[in-house]
Amino acid sequence: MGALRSRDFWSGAAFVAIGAWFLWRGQDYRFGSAAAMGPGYFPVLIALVLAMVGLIILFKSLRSHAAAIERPVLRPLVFVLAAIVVFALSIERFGLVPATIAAIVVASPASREFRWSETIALAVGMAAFAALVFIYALSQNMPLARF
Amino acid sequence: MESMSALAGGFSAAFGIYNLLFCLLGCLLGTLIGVLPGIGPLATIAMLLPITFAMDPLTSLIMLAGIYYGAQYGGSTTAILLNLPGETSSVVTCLDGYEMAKRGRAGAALAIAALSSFFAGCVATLFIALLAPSLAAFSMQVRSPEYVVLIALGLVASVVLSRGSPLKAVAMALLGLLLGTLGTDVTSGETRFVENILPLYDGLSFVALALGLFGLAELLSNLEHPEARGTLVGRITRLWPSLDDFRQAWKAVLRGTGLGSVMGLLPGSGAAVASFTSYVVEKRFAHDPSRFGYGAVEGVAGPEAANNAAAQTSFIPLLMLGIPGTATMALMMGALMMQGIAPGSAIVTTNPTLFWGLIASMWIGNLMLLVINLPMIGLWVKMLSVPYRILFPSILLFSCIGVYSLNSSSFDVWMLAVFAAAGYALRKLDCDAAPLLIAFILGPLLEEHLRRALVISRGSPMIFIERPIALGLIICVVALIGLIILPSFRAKREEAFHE
Repeated sequence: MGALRSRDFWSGAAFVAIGAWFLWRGQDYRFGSAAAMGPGYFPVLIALVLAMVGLIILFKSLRSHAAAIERPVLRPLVFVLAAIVVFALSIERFGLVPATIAAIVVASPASREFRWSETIALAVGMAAFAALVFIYALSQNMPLARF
Repeated sequence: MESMSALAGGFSAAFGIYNLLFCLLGCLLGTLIGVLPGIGPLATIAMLLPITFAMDPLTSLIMLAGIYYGAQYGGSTTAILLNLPGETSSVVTCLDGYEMAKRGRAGAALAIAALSSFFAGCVATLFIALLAPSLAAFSMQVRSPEYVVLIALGLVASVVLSRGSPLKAVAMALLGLLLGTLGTDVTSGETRFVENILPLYDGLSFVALALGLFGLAELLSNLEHPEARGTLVGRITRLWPSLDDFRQAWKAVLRGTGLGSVMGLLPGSGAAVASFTSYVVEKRFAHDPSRFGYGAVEGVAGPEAANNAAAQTSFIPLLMLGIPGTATMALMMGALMMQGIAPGSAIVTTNPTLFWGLIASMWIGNLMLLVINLPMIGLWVKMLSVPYRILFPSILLFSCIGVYSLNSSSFDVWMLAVFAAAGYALRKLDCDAAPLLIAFILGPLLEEHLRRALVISRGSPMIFIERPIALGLIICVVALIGLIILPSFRAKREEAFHE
C-alpha cells in the first residue's frame, strides 16, 4: 500500500510511461544505423534508456520505504494555472490591458492573505505599467486593448 | 599580452553609454531579486529574455549577466541581516554572517561580503583574460567527437550536482534530451513527436519551459509554504570593518577567490557549490574551527569571494565551448542562440567584442554593485516589506507577457501553464528540474555531433577513444560517474544540500 503514496514509485512510473510513449511514436521515423542515423535513432535509444531507468526507480521504490508524496494544496495551483489560461485566452482577443487585469484578478486569490482592495489597485497599476513598458517603451507587438 | 589589449577593447565597448546603462539596470534588478526571496536570477532572466531579443547581443548579455551576479550580492544582504538566503549561493553566508549581525556587527559583515565579492570579481576578470588565449587554442581542437564527450561531461556533471536521488536526476536528463528532439529534425527535415500540433514544429518554447519548471513551480511552492520571515537584527551602525577583521579575512578571500575561479570553470558547478566548498575549506584551515558558526569573519569572506569568482568564470565553458554548466547558463545560451550567435570555440576570434565586452562589463558591474549595495542597504531591506501576496501576481503576469511577446504566440502561454503544472508535479515527486533544462538545451547539439562523429568513423564508437582530447575527457566523465557511485561522496553531497 505504501508504494501508492511513494514519490519514487510515481516518478518511476511516469518515466516509464513517457519513455514508452516516445518509443512507440518513435517507430514512425526511420531508425537507420550508427553510421547513418535516421531521425528515429537518437530519440528511440534515449527513450529506451529512460524507460529502463524508470523501471529501476520503480522497482527500488517497491523494495524500500520511499518518502511519501506531500499532499498537494489545490488553492494556489488552481488560481495560478487559471490565471495563465485566462491570459492566454484574452491577450489576442482583448489586448494587453484587459489580459493583465484579468490575470491579476484571477491569480490573487491563490494567496490566503488576499484582499480585494489591494488586488484591484495592483491590477490597475500593473495594467498601466505593462502598457507603458511593453507597448510604449519596448514597442512589443501586441494590442493595447480591443473589444 | 595580446589578450590584455583585447581586454582593453572590451572595456571600451562596455563603457559605451548604452552598455553602462543596461549594466546598471541588470545590477539593480539582480540586487532586487537577490534580496526578494521567492524569485531568483533564473526566473528573472527567463522573463527578460524576450525583451533582450530586440537589443544588441552584447548589451543583452551584459544586462543578463548583471542580473546573475547582482543576485549574488543581494542574496548575501538578506542572508546577513535576516538569516534568509535570497539565493542558494548565499546559504552558507547565513551561518556566520547572521551570527555577526546578531553580535551587532551587521555593518562589518555586509562590508566584508561586498569587498570580498568585489576583490574576487576583479581577480576573476584578470584570470579569464590570462586564461582565454590558451583556452581558445584548446577549443580550436574540439571537433564533433570531442563535443559529444564534452556534452556528456556537462550532462553527467549536472546529474552529480543536482538535488536528491542521482537515479532520478539521470532520468530527468534523459527526459530533457527527449523533449529537445521535439520539432523539426535539422538533418532530415522530418518533424518528430509533434502530433500535428502546428506551433510545435519549431520545437518547445525554451522560455516557457524554463519559466514554467523553475519560476512558476517555485512560485507555487512558495504559496503552499508561506515563508516565516526572519526579524531584522538591530540597526546598522558602523559599516567599515575593523583592522582586525581585515587581518582575519584576507587569506580567506584569497583562497575563496582561487577556489571559486577554478570551480566556475568546471561544468555543472557554479556559484552555490563554490561557496559551500570554500566554507568547508576555511573551517579546515582555521586555527580555531570552533569559532565557525559563531560569527567568524572568514566564514563570510571566503564563500562570498568564491561565489562571485565562480559566477564570473562559469561564463567560460559557455562562451568558449558552448556547454552551459548550470541552468542559469543554459538560459544565457538560449539568449545567445536567439540572437543567432552559436556559443563555441570560434566566439573569441569571430566576435571578440562580445566576449571581452562581457568580461569587462563584469568588472564594471562589480564596481557598480559595491556602490549600489553599501550606501543603499537600507533601501534594499525595505524592499523586503513588500508582501508576497502583491509580489506573486506581478511575477506571474510578467512571466505570461514575457512568454507571449517572444513569438506573439498564445500557444506558448498555454505551454507555460503546462510546464508550471509539470514543474509543480516534479517538485512533489522530488525530481530536480535542473538536469532536464541543461539536457534540453544540449540535446539537439548532442544528436548533431553524435551523428557527425559516427559518420566520420563509419559507425565505430572507437573514434571517442582514439582522439587524445576526447579520451582525456572520457576519463573525466568516468571519474565523475565513479564519484556518484562512491558512497562517501554521496554522503558528502547529501550533507552539502542539507546545510
